[in-house]
Amino acid sequence: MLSSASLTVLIYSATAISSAQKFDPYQLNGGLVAAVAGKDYVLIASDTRMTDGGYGINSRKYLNGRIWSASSSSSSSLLQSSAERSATDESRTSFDLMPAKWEPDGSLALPTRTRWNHSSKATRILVGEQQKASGRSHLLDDTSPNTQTQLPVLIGSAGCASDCESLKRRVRLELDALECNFPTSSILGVQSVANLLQQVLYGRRGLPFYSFCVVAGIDNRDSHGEGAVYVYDAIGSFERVAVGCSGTGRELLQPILDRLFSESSRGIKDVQTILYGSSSSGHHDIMSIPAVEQRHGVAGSLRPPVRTTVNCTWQEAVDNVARGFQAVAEREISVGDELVVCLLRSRSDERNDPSVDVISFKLKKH
Amino acid sequence: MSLSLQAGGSATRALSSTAPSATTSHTTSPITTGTSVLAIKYRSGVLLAADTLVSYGSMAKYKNARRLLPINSSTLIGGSGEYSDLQSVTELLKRNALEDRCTADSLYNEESNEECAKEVWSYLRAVMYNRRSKMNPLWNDLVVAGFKKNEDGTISDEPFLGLVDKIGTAYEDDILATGFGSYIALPLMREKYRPDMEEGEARALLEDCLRILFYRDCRALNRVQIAKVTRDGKCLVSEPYELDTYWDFKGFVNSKAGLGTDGGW
Repeated sequence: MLSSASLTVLIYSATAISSAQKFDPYQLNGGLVAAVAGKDYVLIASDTRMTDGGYGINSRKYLNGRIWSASSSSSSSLLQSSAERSATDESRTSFDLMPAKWEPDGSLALPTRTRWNHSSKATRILVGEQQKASGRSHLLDDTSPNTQTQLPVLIGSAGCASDCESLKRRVRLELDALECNFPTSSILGVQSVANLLQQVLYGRRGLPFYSFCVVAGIDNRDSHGEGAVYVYDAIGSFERVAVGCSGTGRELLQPILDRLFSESSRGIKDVQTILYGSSSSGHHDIMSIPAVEQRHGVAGSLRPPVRTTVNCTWQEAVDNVARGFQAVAEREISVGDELVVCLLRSRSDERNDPSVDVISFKLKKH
Repeated sequence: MSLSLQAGGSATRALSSTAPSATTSHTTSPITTGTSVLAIKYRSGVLLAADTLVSYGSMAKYKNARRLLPINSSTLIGGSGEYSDLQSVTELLKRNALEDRCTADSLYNEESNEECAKEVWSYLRAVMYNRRSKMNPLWNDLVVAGFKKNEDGTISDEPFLGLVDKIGTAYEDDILATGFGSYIALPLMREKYRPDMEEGEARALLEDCLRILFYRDCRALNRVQIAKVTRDGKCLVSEPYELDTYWDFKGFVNSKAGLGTDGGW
């Protein structure tokens, strides 16, 4: 009698525990990623805060599953930063360009705030000279025809961190398998990566990857070296855009970036002109393309009705993105701590060499 | 929900369920649980701390349960959450470590073929993520501590500290805390942390945090263990010991610190 009563109490209390904690396979770990496509550059940016899905901050320096390279493991490591190549070239800009470093799993390593020193630059070039002497091809070799294809395609993802990590591994596995099967072919272009990502995301339509992505890369199909940005939802629908963002706080960031880039693209700061357009341009939105100009080719196919690149320098673009993130960090608790911008340029100097650089900004810590 | 008392923990229970109903019932809530694990990097390695209590709901069920465990010669894990799942995960990792050792080129060189902490962490992420994708999770938050490997396979000087949770979220940091500790201890540790802390300092900080957790977390105990991994590749786990407590703080003695209310806190 007594024992059955106490058993009932035990079962009752245990049931009370279980109803309080129900298993949820998803967690929204915050994070905001953005990407901007320019005429000869593309940039991708992420904050480094990872939350526990609520008010708690798991880590203030999480970048592992946020920005990663969708180019096979072997190809991206040789790329150089303009910071290490020429100190004088970038000295007029106000940004502290750092060389991009990659983790073994292809994710962008968190930049450390140490400036590139000249002694290590010297050793790096020395290694290059030795490689040239031994006949191996590498990036410092001017005769290499496809240096531009060496720029990696980068993916930024935010949402459920465990899903983002798994998505990263799935996509990179596909790319490594592709390289194994077709070792002579060059790495996938940005458009192919964009399609691959759509396939992988939609492949998990039943239990979706809760990760919101942007893809950023240099489009080499017509050899212009133009930036290309694609923005996704969790189940794989996507679109090519000039400025895209994804993750927690994207609703705050997107209009801010739209506005900032529409100003930069016109090169005007006058409110009347921004709101109502100048009389010469005729339409209000600088990013929209009139119907006549959308027609393309003999078959009469249509280009997108909006421009897919912004019309400003990379310095302005970095500045706009930093301002946008700082604004969002003020109002969205899941965004903060640090902003990491990764910049790919198809022509960074007179020699038309591609480069990869990283710039870091401080964001609100609380 | 079934409260089967079959041996083998919730993991086995869920897998070997032969219920006549078409749907398999999985563990979707923990039963016997351990609370926080705290971890911090210091000058010459990583320190872990946890108490030795395992609760059954609100009952303090096992008071000498060890939740800091070495799984090979240079990697430690600390686990909170369902204790049976922790035991099953540890067994899995030890089985892997044994296999690594038996398939090594030399049986005399212990570290030759071992997984480093980062590899263990990465493996655990895959295990946890697979289980959560089957909606049959291992209900644990696991802290992995040790050192990273160099490119040539030798253990490097760079300490590693990472966390994997029950849905496979994995991240590294200099300071980590699970469970209730992530609310109470983590901010305190963030405030006091320096990368060049001496062992004594780091240890004192962890003990202070454990003591505060004992004051404030109803599922915590002042019987604790501290464990360390050091640069020379050694794991040491202390025997459980008791922390001194002090209950004469004004805020503890006076109800509402003297606000003259009905006596509640």
